[in-house]
Amino acid sequence: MNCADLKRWLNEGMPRGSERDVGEHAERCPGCAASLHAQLEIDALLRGEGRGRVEAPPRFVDRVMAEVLAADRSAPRIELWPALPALPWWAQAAADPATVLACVLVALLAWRIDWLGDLARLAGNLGSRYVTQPLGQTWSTMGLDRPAVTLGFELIAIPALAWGSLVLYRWTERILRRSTRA
Amino acid sequence: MRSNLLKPGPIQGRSNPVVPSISESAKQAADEASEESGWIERACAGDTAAFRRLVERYGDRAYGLALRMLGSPEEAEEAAQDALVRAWRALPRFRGDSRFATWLYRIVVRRALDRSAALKARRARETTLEETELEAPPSPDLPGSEGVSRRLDQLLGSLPEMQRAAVVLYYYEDRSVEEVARTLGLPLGTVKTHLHRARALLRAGWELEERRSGIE
Ligand SMILES: [Zn+2]
Repeated sequence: MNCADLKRWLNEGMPRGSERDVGEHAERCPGCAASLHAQLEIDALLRGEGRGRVEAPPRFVDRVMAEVLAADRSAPRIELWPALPALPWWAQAAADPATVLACVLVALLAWRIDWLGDLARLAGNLGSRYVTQPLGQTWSTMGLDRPAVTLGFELIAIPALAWGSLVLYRWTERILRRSTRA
Repeated sequence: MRSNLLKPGPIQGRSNPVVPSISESAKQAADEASEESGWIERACAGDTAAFRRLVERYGDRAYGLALRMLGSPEEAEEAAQDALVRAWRALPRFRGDSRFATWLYRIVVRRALDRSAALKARRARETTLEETELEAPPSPDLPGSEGVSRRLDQLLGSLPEMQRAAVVLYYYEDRSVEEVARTLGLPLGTVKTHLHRARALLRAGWELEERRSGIE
């Protein structure tokens, strides 16, 4: 047995069978003898010798139960990004299916920009039936009917709409899954 | 099956502790398990009194696990409380294919890791880079935490999070390597590697402290 073997044996939790070789090596190698000594001390502590049991603070159970009673289990929590909160925000956002869908939509629209015009015309036709004349005038006075502004609104609205629908879809799905189980 | 590969101390000649006869302790364990599955079933159906029994049984351990992972009693209490409330909400989804304790520990570990990440981000914002590098997580004020015990707690606090979680679950919570892997959602080999590296780091830190105290 050499120094590296001995260190590996210590790291692996000192499996049975090599004790004699270890003892022989440690007798002629002060560095390994110190490592062995340190490991034995650490292991004694890890095994909990002389260590008391950790107790939760007083009234911990009561406080938990107060929260439990206040928590309505039937109502699902709306979490926009429910998983992996330990990751940075951009990684979470990138992993969110809604974001992915929104990105695909934006890419698609950027690729076929003429579709935006068609969509705007369609929205305009639908809108003109319901939007009153004064509102249209205000819109125009404020300069919000300029093509560039409209395009900007659309660019913001489309991914937001896609993301919102998917969140809504996932929420409904969760409620349905819960109600079918119950 | 419990893997004893990493359990410390075969060369120390450990004396066998006085334990009740196997049949006696097995019967007690079976009784406890059946009592527990009754509580779980009732709690699933919305019985908060049954859930209270589970909190009474596992509250200290959930808190202890969070404390060893986070180092701060306040943070540990928040994390454990949050985990238990989440467990209550998620209980109808508990399928019983792992032990309740393993399932609950998984929630506690996740909450503790999230809190730890949030704390680290907050500290990084509040301190300069140099200070962050020098700063070790606070060492928990645990029972028997003086002298060498305190030294070990400090070294434990300086381990990377996953290694710390693996050590806490394996040694302090006495989980098997398989259970640690299930709790942390990691492959068995990765957990073994975490435990091996953690032992090496703890030992290196320990030897350094020994040399320091020898010089002083
Ligand atoms: Zn050596």
